Amino acid sequence: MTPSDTNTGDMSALLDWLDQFQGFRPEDVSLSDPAGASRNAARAGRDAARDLPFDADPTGFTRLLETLARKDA
Amino acid sequence: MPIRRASPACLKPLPAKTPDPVTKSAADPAFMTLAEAAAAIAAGDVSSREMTEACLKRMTALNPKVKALAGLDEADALAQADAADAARAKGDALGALHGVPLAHKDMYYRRGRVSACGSAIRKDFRPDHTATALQRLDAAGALDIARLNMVEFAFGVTGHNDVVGTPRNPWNTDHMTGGSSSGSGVAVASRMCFGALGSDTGGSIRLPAACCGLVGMKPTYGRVSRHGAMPLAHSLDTVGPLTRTVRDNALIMQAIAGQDANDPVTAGTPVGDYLAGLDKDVRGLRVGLPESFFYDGVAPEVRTLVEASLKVFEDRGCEIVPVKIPDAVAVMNRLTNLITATEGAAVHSRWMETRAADYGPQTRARLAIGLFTPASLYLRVLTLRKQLVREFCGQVFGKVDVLHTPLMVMPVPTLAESNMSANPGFADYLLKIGHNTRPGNFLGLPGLNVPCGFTPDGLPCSFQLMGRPFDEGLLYRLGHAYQQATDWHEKAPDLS
Repeated sequence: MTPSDTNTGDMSALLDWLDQFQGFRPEDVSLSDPAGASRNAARAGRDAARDLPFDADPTGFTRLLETLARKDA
Repeated sequence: MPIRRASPACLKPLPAKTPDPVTKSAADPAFMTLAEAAAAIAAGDVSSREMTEACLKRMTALNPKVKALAGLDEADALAQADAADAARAKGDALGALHGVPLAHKDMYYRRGRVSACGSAIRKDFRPDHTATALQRLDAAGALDIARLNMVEFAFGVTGHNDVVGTPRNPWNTDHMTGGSSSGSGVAVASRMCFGALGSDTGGSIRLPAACCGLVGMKPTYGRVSRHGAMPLAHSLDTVGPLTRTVRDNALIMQAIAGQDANDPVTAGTPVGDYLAGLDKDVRGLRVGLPESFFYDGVAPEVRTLVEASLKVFEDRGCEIVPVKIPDAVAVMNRLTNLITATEGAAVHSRWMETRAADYGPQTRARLAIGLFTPASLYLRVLTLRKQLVREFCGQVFGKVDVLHTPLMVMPVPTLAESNMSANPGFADYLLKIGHNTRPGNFLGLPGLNVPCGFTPDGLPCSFQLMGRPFDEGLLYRLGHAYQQATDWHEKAPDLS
């Protein structure tokens, strides 16, 4: 499945796309209930993120890279 | 994975089936390297106007065939050249790139000049500010003589553009250029200019460099300011040059790298002297040979050339060290796509609502998918990123100085093979094209693409050197050592 060659309104295409991100596929989705599928996807995402710190600041990523740079340069 | 020793193909004549490339054209100054051109202008051996006229002549003659240009103002280009020549005649201090004609991907804003970003939506967009990277090149004396074609909003790795047209590979116009910096790759390989900026979110500098037989540097995330560059995915976007030699690439990177208050993710880590380090000895450096992942599915003809390039490093006194790659690298390709789609959707959400029909079908569909990503999932991926870069750097760069990989695992595909619009079921194919580039974006690490020969169909093939954060200088040093021992970088496509 390639997103670009499918109807963008097609729920199955979107779910297949998510399926590519292994381990992150939301469970209990129903193509006949897109709103419910969206709620379930969001719940799955929350569950996946539980107990993880909020750490998505991109400037923080730069600082992390600086700590990993060669020290003997 | 044990390395299969191959004959040093880079030191042999080209295979009989390969089209005969032009090695040098002493009569045409456009065939100089950037470093040679800068030196010739500084010495007064040739004027900036002569250089610019040579480039414009090639643009005019060749663009109908390769479609590299998004916009060209010849009078403005010549006025820039004349100003450069006048400054030299007055005895003004000259920058390292004084008078050298460059051209850039059409997503670097210059105040008052159209920057269409490969799109219909922005075909008349005139920014009110100039990109930091362009300001720094201006300060170094470089000319900016044309806007170069690109994938629509930089969202694609093959070079196809359904909206403004698809550039052609100068080595064989039936083959893809790579993207998204497609015009940058085509223009530099076609000797229309001496170097070009691209941008790399998932491989968009390295892939067109590889497909067009050029050197391309995707710098460390935060090394070069993105201010004034069209955003695609702010957590991944990087700015870097495509050139014909490693030295040329270092010259441009030296000018553009460094902290910028206008881009808060730029790093305070000092910029090294890339040029001074180029000729340092490489003996004893540890070049990592990945034991997994980076050779998955590699085509035999690509493997032969890439392994031959490794032999060159061995002959130069480097130690070739097999290195285990963290298993997690296998998901980075897809996670990079998730971040790109999600952040891209955020950037484009307003136009997706109001101007959806003005996007090409590929871009629209991929952006729509990004709108569906749960925020919690997106944040989890960014959190994983920090964990994985620590793990990768510890496991890989605890043992080696650089990692050596194929850049693409396949020969350069044809335009038809790589056309998503015409071929259903190509998601895996596209993932394969970016198989060895997207991990570098996900991890924020620098990656240097260096050409290492031609596959039997006459298309270029490249290896990639990946390094620790902010180790661009070491990548340049090794890439330059390779080019001192080989002559692939002197080959030019025959566009006559």
